[in-house]
Amino acid sequence: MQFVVCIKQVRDVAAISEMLSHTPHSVAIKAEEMIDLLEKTPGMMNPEDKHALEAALQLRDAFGGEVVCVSVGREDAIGALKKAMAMGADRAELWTTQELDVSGSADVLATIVKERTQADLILCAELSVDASTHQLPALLASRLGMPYLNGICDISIEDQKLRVRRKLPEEIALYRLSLPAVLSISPHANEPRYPSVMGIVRFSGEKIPAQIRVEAAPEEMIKGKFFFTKTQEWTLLDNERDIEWIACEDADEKADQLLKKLNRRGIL
Amino acid sequence: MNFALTEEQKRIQQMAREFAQQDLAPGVIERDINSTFPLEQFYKFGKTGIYGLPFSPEVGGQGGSYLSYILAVEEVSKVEGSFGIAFSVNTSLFCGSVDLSSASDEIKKKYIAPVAAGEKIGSFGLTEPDAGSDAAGQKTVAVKDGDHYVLNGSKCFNTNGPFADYTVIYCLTDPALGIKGMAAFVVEKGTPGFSVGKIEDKMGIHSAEVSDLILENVRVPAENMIAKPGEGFKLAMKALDGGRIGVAAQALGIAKAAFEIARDYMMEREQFGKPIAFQQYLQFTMAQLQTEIEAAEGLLYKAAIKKEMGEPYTIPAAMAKLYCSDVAMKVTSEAVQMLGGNGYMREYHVERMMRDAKITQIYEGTNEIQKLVIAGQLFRRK
Repeated sequence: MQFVVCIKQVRDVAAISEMLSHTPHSVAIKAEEMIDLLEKTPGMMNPEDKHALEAALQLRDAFGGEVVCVSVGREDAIGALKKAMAMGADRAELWTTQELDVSGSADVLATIVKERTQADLILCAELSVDASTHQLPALLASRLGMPYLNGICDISIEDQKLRVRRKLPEEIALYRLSLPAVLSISPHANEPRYPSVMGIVRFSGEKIPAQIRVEAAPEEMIKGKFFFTKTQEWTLLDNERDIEWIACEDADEKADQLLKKLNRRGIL
Repeated sequence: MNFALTEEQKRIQQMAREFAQQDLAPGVIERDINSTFPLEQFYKFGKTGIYGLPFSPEVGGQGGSYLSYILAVEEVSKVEGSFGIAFSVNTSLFCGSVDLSSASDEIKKKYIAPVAAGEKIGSFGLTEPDAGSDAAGQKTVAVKDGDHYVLNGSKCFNTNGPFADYTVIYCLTDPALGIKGMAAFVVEKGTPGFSVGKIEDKMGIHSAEVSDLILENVRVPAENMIAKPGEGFKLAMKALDGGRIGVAAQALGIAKAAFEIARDYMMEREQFGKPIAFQQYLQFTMAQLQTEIEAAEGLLYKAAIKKEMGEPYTIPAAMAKLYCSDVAMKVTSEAVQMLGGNGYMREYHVERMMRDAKITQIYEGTNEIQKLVIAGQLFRRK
């Protein structure tokens, strides 16, 4: 079976907040400034994608086949794909394009899936930490005419049919669906493995490893493509929160500990 | 001259950082209080193959850069210094002894590959109660008996000792020859007569497990002799040259982490109507410390690169260990001071870092021994 995983290279969010740490929270950052800032920020694999990749690796190990990663974006997305290879993916396809919105990305990804894979199952993250639209998996499924479910926390395959568990706020629902299909994986589904050191050593040694095929998306696909959505400005929210759990049975002792903690932090 | 890290080095550093944040940071204070080693996390990290990073694939390693390995030790030590030394002993001292030895590739692979795969853990037995800086005071002996050697004696301060699967035991085949009669053997856990003695109660690195190892008529196959009589001392010194780079990385990681905690705290803590970071006399201290950390980093990375390039690295390793550990002691002590009363409290981490830093000036050759090593080449008699 072939398991296809959508991988996105995003900017390192922690590095952005580090760079913005001197900016007052109420000041809006204009689109041009943000683009400039993003240029200076190192890239990384969308952290949520690791759960989709882990699910695919586990399925491959259980049912056999291969894991193919697909990505659309700038050429530096090779970095995220190298990480995916070091985690255990078999090969990857990257189509380079100009900056696209989620609809444009879904178009290109659907074309990669049709032309470069024989996908039995397509796995995505629930969201990317940069755009956070949550829309890509649904758009991709509609472009491919495949069934789609989100919030998946468990997958098994029986007689060429999928059995998946979907986590809802109050319950877990069990579904059966036909293959091929698109699923987005809940971050609670699994604990992603770390990339192997052997993989890091091997794939760092080459600019573009043979297992990663990079090509420019066909001009006609993206030519004249307009953005349905485009961000105009960003404002940072000051939402620093800290949660501490006081674990003890006795209410008096609990109150004492709470007072101590509040005191220590200078709140009281 | 190019100070930039390679892609591999950056990726290993990033992976180790993620591991430290996700898997080591939770419970680090509790493990310090209870003196428990994060064994489960140690195996988990090992699954990536990190412990065999600098060794060649022929002996079961990953064929990576030595500096990549050192960056990984530094990253985990930022969160838990105890983990850093367990890692360094496993890789530099256990695997390092086996790899640098004259053992056959078969024996090297037999003992390095399982450690490199994160399935087995190694330890290093050189120090004895009467043989610390003066390794010539060794009392542990090995006597040949057919195709085996019979080992008797004891080793102290063995990091990873209580749970190690394999230990390199340095001992004398002919006590009359002193260190000129020193050999080395790999002894496996469970070998009859080989047992764990007293587990130490330490000032710092609480979650690292350090113990005595006792050898009572332990029969070891002759093929496990990785250094022949007369070669043992040289092998121990070579392994320790690598180990010192590991200790320096541990020390630098501790120093950098304490510095970051102090810096963040100073930006938040307000006294006299402004963050204490804006008191110039405190800024000057921090500027000095940052400079010393940078200098320590330079010495450390240079020593690692020398080793990686196959150039002599005994002196650079001694200098890195000497300076990084002194900087770690100074930075952690100043960090506690910067945090005032809070700095003295466990929950702010810096007091643990200060206790952990102290040992880096002592083990794998005290800093006095490092100065002897450095001075030795400085005034060599012609």
